[in-house]
Amino acid sequence: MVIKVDNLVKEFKEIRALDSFNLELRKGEILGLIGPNGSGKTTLLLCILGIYSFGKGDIKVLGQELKPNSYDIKRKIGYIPQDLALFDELTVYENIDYFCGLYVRDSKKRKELVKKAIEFVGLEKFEKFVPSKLSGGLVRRLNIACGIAHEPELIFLDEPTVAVDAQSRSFILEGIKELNRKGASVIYTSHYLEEVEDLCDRIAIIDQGRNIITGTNEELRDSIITTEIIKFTLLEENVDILKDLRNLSHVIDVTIKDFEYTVKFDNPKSNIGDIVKFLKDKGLTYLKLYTEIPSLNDVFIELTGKELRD
Amino acid sequence: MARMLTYIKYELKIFLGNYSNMFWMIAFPLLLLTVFTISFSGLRFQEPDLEKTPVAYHEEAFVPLYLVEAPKELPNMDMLDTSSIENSLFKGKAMAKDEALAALKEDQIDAYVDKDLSMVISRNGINQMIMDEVITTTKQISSLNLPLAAYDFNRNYVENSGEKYSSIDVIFYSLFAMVSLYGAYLAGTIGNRLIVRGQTVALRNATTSTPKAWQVMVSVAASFLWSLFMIAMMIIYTEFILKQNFFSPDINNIPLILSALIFGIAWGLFLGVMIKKESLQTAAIISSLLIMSGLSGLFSDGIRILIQRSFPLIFKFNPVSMIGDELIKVNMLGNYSTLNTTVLLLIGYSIILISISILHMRRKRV
Repeated sequence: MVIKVDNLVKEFKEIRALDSFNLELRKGEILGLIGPNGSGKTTLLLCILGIYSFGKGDIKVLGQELKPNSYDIKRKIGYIPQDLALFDELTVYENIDYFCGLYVRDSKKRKELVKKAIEFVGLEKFEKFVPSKLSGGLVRRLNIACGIAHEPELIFLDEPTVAVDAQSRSFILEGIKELNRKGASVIYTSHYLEEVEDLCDRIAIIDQGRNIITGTNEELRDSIITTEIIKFTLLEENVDILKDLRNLSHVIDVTIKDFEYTVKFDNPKSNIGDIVKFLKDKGLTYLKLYTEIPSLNDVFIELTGKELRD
Repeated sequence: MARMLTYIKYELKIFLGNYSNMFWMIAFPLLLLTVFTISFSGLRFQEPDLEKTPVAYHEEAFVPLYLVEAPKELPNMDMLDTSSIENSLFKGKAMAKDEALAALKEDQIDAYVDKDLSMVISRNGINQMIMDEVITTTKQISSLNLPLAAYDFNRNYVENSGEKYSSIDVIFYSLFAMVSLYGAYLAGTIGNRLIVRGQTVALRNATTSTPKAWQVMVSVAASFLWSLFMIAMMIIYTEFILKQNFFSPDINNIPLILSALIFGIAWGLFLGVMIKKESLQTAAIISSLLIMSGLSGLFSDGIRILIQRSFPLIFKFNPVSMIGDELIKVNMLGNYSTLNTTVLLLIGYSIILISISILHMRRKRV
């Protein structure tokens, strides 16, 4: 186990930011943390990193408790903060060298690592640029390079793709997969569910300082009642059919928004035939009708009662 | 060592790359120096008044003033005429305080010594400096109950020095004293770099495997080099470009300037650690240096005199006044009587400020 968090409680004055929080990160996996703003993701990372003290519970990183002076463990950790942590006055090379040097003393080795990190994030052409001369996406890549240049075993990425263009985002995500392939264990927080679904081996859903559930994508889907979601649009909105839809067998929820009806089922088999028959019986013409399996967002909604971006 | 040098280079680059601070850090002192030189250089080297200092004194101050140059075999003190004293340093007359203050206002006398040996002056100058020295030593000797032989005023203030001290010099030396504290600016950034309180760089630094102490050491070394550079630049600019001679090649300048640089760094470190907001830190450093320098006479000799008279403790323990006064004594008067005390006091201040800062940094965990 790379990280083990047991019954962690962290309070800021009267606000309980983390409440009996449990989490495990296995060796070589990418663990995604998802949750709305203020759910406790960053607080959790900072507690694990030994930046925040905490009231109750226990945290083990690489088998040991991480204290501010646990330099041997810290040497194996890379942290990429949510906000940019760079020096505007230093060039790309110097910024990476600055932070890499806080882990690696040998200047020859450091030089190699910095070069590798620059190549890794694709900033070779911008080595002598200062951050203010780079685009948002390139600055994010630099921010990542500063945290991984020393080739850590354990990497914390706190929302690294916020405000990043599509090209840089895919570059960053590929980079994280590459780091993981090379053996790094990763904790990754994000608002973007698609990213997390694509990238992470396991996902933890966090809400109001609690770990609601942790598991693989499939395990999370299996944990909720909804098995299928059917959506259709009618020529004209007809609220009278809502009651009849709810009475169909295995229907657990029906909603209507912008002329689109959403019907959720708890039946593991396909239910689309039932819906087509229902609409035909009612003499209603649908414009489009499709079925989908529950997304991570649906899992989140069902488990927390709210949208991720609420 | 190579690693440390690399980080010192980065520290200086980060610091000097912040152009918004450049005005206060480089342009402001050079500008002041140039303006002062243009305005006052003509007044600096007026012929000194080599006559004995004209002073007035309260009758009860007669005995201590008489003892300054009394013969080894004392006459019967009761038989002496207390209405006037004349020796090699000053020429005094007993006077009522009101009368003396009026005479002081009209420049008929340079100082008035009251019965408790406190001294009133209307401006700064060599005569006032001599009297200040006489009174201070007299007070020390009488409080320690030392024998008469302890009175030694054979120092010739004017002739021992190649320069003449004037109130204008106070302004210049206050400026040099202020610049010697310029390490405060760079040292002021240490807190933001190392205490996790909103700045992301501090957050990243805190997760690295380099101890805070090492990072503080790098910043302190960079601050030291920066302030050394600034004071050297000021001296070179004054001596070779403005052609003003303020610094004598006196080795006693070294401990004084070094202790001033250390105090400047400690002051910046302290403010940077205790004040959370970055913008407030810079404002606090700029304003505190200006206030200390202003009280020391940077902007007006009158303020210095007012502080000397009304708040003598502030004047005595204001670091810029201490450094400025000591620079005058060393470079213009060849007087080292208070040098050790000043150096020790500055080092003492620094130790206190650094200790508080380090304790605060160690304690600061959210």
